[in-house]
Amino acid sequence: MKHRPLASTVLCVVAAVAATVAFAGAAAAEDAELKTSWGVPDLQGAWDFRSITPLERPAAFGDKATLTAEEAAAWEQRRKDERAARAAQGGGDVDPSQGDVDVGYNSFWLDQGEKLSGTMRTSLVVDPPNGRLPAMTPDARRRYDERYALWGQPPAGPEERNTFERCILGFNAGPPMTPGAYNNMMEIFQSPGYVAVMTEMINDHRVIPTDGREHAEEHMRFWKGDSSGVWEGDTFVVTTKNYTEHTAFRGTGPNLVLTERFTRTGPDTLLYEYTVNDPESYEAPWTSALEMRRTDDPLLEYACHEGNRAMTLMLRGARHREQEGKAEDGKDWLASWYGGQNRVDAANKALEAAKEEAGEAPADPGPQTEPELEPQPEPEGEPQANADGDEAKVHSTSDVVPPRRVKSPKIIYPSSAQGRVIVQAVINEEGTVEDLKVLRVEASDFVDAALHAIERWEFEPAMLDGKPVPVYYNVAVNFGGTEKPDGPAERRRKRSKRIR
Amino acid sequence: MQRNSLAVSLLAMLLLVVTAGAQSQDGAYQAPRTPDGAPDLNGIWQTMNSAHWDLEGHSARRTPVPEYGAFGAIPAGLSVVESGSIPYQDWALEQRNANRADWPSLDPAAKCFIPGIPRATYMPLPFQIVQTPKAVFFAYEWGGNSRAVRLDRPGTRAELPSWMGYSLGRFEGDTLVVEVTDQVADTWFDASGNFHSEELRVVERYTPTGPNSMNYEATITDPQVFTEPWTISMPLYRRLEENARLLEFKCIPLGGEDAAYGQLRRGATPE
Repeated sequence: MKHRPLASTVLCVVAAVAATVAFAGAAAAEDAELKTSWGVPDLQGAWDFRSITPLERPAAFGDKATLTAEEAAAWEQRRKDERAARAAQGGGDVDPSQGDVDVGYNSFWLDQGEKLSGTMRTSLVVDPPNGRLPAMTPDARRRYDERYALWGQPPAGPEERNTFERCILGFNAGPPMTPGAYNNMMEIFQSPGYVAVMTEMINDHRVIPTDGREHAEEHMRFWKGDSSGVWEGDTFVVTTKNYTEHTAFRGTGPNLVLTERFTRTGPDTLLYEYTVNDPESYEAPWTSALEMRRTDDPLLEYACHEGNRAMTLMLRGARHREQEGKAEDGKDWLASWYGGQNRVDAANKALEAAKEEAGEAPADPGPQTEPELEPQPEPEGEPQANADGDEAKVHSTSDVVPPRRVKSPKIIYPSSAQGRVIVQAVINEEGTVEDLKVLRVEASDFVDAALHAIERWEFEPAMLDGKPVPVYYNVAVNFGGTEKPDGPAERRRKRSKRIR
Repeated sequence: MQRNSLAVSLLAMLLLVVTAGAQSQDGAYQAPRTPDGAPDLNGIWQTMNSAHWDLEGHSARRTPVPEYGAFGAIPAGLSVVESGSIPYQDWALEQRNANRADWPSLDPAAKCFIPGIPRATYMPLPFQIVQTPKAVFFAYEWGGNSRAVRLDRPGTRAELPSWMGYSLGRFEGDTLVVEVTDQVADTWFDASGNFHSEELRVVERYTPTGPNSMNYEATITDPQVFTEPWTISMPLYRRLEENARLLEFKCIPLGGEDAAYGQLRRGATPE
């Protein structure tokens, strides 16, 4: 729930100092009252995981990993001052110039707290030691970008929105749980053999067995993953795997193995650590640590789906555009969240020009790079089966056995090329490429080169019920290996923090 | 001091273990005790009936969904309402019948909305009880729904109405009695249009009847809709599989969105 009373600054500092000691020694409480009647550590209660500690260490801190009490108090005060200044400007909205039209959140909703985590770290990330996330793999970045491109389009149906907007997962509910914009509360219940974790965000729960039982079979997949726990000393260690391909925590994929560690460090503190191990998405594992604080505030029922007016309005808005003949016009679609689509328009013009030329590869061929690709659900503006059904329905890859690429002439481009092009293809029943459409172009002049190559690719067609069917297929082509610190992907990453 | 109370509670536990699962003097089944000494309701439970289709007695019937062949049909069921039929006020019976005529598009649970109490109990999937001295946590596989029945807050009121309502519990002998208030008016009791208003009050009784069974009773009071309180009753069975566990049934992507937003998909015929 929101608007909890705040402890005085003095108390904050005292608590923070005490917490540092506890964290440094990782000392689990030995107080008998912190054990259950059957002798395991008692993790029960409602826990508040609001925090203004950033996930990654701000560059200004350099090598500095921990804060003194004075530094922490100063940081917290600075944050309060910033918020007060924003409130004085425009009521405290996310961005006063946006009003409350397509941002969706204003200060009423936001409840990130005013305190740094009691770990007294400069970041939630404690490993790698520099407090920064390891690099994402190209594969994960591609997945992320393709999703992002999809979310920047008016949706054909709810499946094209992200799991948070659909109320399937909570953006801070995990697993892993991580401080977010609001609903940063969870409650733990224990019985012999089980630890139940209930998150206020989207009103979801896990009942985690403590016998370390085997996970479900590899092919069984769960939106929240499959959690199994075991006590290691006084720490409850939970391993979660078997996520779905749609589940993404900061760019993770379906083969993420998450390890969470719950340690009661005192009557009012719970150390919560998690390690992300997903070699397909991050080049190294990374670990976050946060101290949760016990609260007497009750969790309230956050009936996300039941009250999801936003989904209804988005879909209605998209249909309204189509009725007005503006189906292709995505320029102002949630512009402040996903950016405009002007580049898509320009790229589609380039596509038409390329078709007319039907021509040669550009001169000056540089090194050849294998493009990266992944099937995605159908984006905006695509043909549908007509009412008579005499035009074959083009399927989303989530509904079929996806097509498999068997022949792919390399994309030829100069070594100096930079940027990215995302193209949507329809792979027909014969496995050949039809209906290329450029979805997004970022800082690249080589759209034609990408299209010229992709239209020659060949596939084993997508299969549904044993029959080949046409399917939408997205290809993201990344030109150049290095990215400027403030390049398009970096800007997207920054913006992504505002995606709910 | 602490050691003494520990010894006392150990002794109490020992006594309870001796009597665990036994018959009491009056012949009623006596449930085993939790480590804290309460009747132990922990476990994974499930009903075995078709009450989620229709609380009242009903013949087997077709659904409007022919795609699944015979699997799309509704099985017959005897009434779980003790009085046989639900004592509706006249206007409310008409409303119920109108609901029933168009239930696939009107039933909130078909959209994957939280089913409320008592319906969550007899949805056709298991639920798990995680019992603590202060609360009995009900985790339902359907939709990932849940509620905490608070044992330590008698006399308190809900801060807000909610889909699952506000549940305060106490033990009467071996029976867990739960009073549920402050549910929103938007839930139904089943897929046959049986409904209530925001004045709904439910008193549930969970009574162990054997090592692997409980009786579930719910008395429903809603003076806006019914002429008198009425009661449903049905057994709950323990799931005995060695590896029994709750699985994930996220009903939003499993048809809930189709029911909630189907008319708003691209290419759908507007209503």
